[in-house]
Amino acid sequence: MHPAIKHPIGRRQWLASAAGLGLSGRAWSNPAAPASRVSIARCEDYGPAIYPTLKTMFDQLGGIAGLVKGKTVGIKVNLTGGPRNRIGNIPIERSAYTHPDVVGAAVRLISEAGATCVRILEGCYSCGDPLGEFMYDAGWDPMALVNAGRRVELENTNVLGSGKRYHRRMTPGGGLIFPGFDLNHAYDESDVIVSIAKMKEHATCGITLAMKNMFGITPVTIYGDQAGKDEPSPDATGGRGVVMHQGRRGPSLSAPQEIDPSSSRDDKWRVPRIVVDLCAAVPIHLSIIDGIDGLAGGEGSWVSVSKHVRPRLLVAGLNPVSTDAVSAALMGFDPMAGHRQIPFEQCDSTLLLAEQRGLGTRDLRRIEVAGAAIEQAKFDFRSASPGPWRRVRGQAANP
Amino acid sequence: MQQRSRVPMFWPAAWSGDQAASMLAASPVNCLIAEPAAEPQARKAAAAKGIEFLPLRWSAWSETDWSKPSPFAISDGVWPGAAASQNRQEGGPTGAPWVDANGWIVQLARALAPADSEIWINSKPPEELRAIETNQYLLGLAEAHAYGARRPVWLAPHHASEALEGKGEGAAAWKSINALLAWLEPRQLWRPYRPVSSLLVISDFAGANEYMAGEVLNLAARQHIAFTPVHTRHASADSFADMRAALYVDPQPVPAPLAAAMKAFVQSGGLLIAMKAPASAIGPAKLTGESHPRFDLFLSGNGRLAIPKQDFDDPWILARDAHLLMSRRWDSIRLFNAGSMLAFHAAAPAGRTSIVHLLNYTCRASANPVSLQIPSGVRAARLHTPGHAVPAAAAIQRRDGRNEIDIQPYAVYCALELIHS
Repeated sequence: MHPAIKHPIGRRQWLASAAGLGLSGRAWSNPAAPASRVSIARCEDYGPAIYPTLKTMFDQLGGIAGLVKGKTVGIKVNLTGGPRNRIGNIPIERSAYTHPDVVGAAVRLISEAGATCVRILEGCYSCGDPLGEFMYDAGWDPMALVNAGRRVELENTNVLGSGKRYHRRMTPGGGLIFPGFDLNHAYDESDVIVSIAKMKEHATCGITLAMKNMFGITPVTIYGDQAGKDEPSPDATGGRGVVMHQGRRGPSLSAPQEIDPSSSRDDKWRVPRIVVDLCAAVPIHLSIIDGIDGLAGGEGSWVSVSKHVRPRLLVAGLNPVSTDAVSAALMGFDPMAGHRQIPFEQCDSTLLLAEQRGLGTRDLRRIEVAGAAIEQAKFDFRSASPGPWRRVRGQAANP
Repeated sequence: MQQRSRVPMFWPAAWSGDQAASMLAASPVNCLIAEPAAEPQARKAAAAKGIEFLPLRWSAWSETDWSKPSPFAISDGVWPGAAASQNRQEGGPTGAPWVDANGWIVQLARALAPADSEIWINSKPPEELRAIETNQYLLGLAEAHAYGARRPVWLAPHHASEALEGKGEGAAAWKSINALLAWLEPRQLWRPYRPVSSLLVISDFAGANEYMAGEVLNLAARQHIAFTPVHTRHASADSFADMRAALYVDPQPVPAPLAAAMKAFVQSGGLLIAMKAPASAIGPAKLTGESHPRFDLFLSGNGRLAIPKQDFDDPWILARDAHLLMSRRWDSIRLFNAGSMLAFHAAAPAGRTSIVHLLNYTCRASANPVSLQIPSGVRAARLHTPGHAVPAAAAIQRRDGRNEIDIQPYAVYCALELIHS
């Protein structure tokens, strides 16, 4: 284990040591990490155009019938933050949340491809409300999603929901922070996991895409600020700051505990690693990035420099690391950037860690791109916002 | 045509000279009340101005005798405001800013009092009298107006003295108060409007039931849950019209006439949330397969029955559970970026007009733009803003399938008039 992960050190010192060890990440590539085709499409707006666009993209990936036919499919959407908090007057599905039109089109296509059951899943912000009720609070009509396919269910995975107990998913080969996780039954019962994420920068992880989306699968009854000490709390309240970001306490003792409680408590070191642990424990089979609208500078209204942007893009792929790498490139970033390099100036790169973990390649030279070309579809997020770090350091951080 | 109602004011003790009555020259105030120490001066001023002096007995809402003639003077309101504006660090269980608000008490009083009664609401002033700002006076007046009541005009002693001398913050506050009162007068026609809600809350609001039933209303309001309270004695089949759910708070069995109405409500598709004894009024019901941490759920006729596994004990959770069991689908409005604002939607008893009263408990214009999602059948909207005699047309935005209106920043109060198709 690299010494930096146990003892927070200065950036210059860390970069020097990392460069010496060849671990800063840039140019480093894991040839054993799987590569997979990624599809890019331009999409001018939400609405009826999404279904045919996404259908073409799935075809470009080789079709999804082989993946989902006869299977139970869990779709993790991204509903970060309170449903009534907006940036300006912009509806939250056009900034922080995955847009329901994208989710609906995906549900319809997955159902048409033969899935027996589709579950839309999210650990909703600070509550155990039924997912459909959470959506109503955002002004959505969840019935449109339920009616988008055969046997579509909604579940807030912060709580037991329709399950009787939490299900344990271990991290194969051991984890970086957690050896395993106790999760809502839906993740364990899903044969196929789909991550539908929003194209956003992130104040802790630099960027948030298909992999970072999985951070929200952890139930706050176990991993939340008010999680039960010994057992999961009966009610879901609070965020994931205390246990997950800062590590100021562990999850409920009934769940697997941290491998090394003496490791760094810096959330910009911890969260990227926890995300990789989660993606190893609950592998993503299909990643869809809603980049029609997105957020530059941060992941939600609480990040003061967050700015609504319109990249007009959809991205899909069968490997989450490759899909996120292509998406990062589309946002104007170098996916091969190492820890503490743009867009990860003050954090570690989830892409690098995931590649090191063997989850997939971030090397664009190894990723076949279908549909639009990256250079032609690129939308420079940093031209719209100075990036998330200004909020953190109180300065314009991006060189 | 509605009779002009009283516009009451607590006469300040400092207003004792010969000039004092002239303070009312340009004021809509038409009824004086007073603390005992200021009563002689108040009587004198009322006589000089030719207006009414009303000796009143104030009481807590739970101790009010609703059989007496109005006005009903309720003393156990709160000084309205947001935690931040009063330098406090309180918050609700969700971390949402806490607001001290009186709307629920006024709604309850209107449910307990005979129709068209005058309801007056008052509270102790804040401890730091010197910290009171003009907008806080205005919030108290506007809040009472929004819910169909009056809050007597009151000035902190130092402001009253300044107003009499025609200088300083007190004079400015007195001027602003009178301007708001004058602006509100033609809008008194909204007073009989009834809450737009899908949740009926039934209780006798007395004795052992007083705390739970009152707090359910108080904490429902804090969670932006619209409700219509009704006393068990007044509840009838008409009470259930347009309702999606009824929360029967009390543990006692339901009186026979109400039981029949309640059963009919459930049979026709309504949801009843009640403890075991009152729920027995519905008769046989079939357990559903749904799981809920705090309720057993049953089907009866076309409706549903939710019976708690344990007696109601937490009014915050009960209000939230009732809302979720009914479904937020039936919320008539949604306020985005509301922060420390509350909205109260009320509709004309018959007609196609409704009003969304918007109250900002911080007393400062919000930095974040506020949007209001409105019902789909609204064909036009007008924004009433204090200081503007004529309402302005409000543009209805179509956003991702919803109808919304963007509300310009406001510090205390504005009202959106919705004209329905």
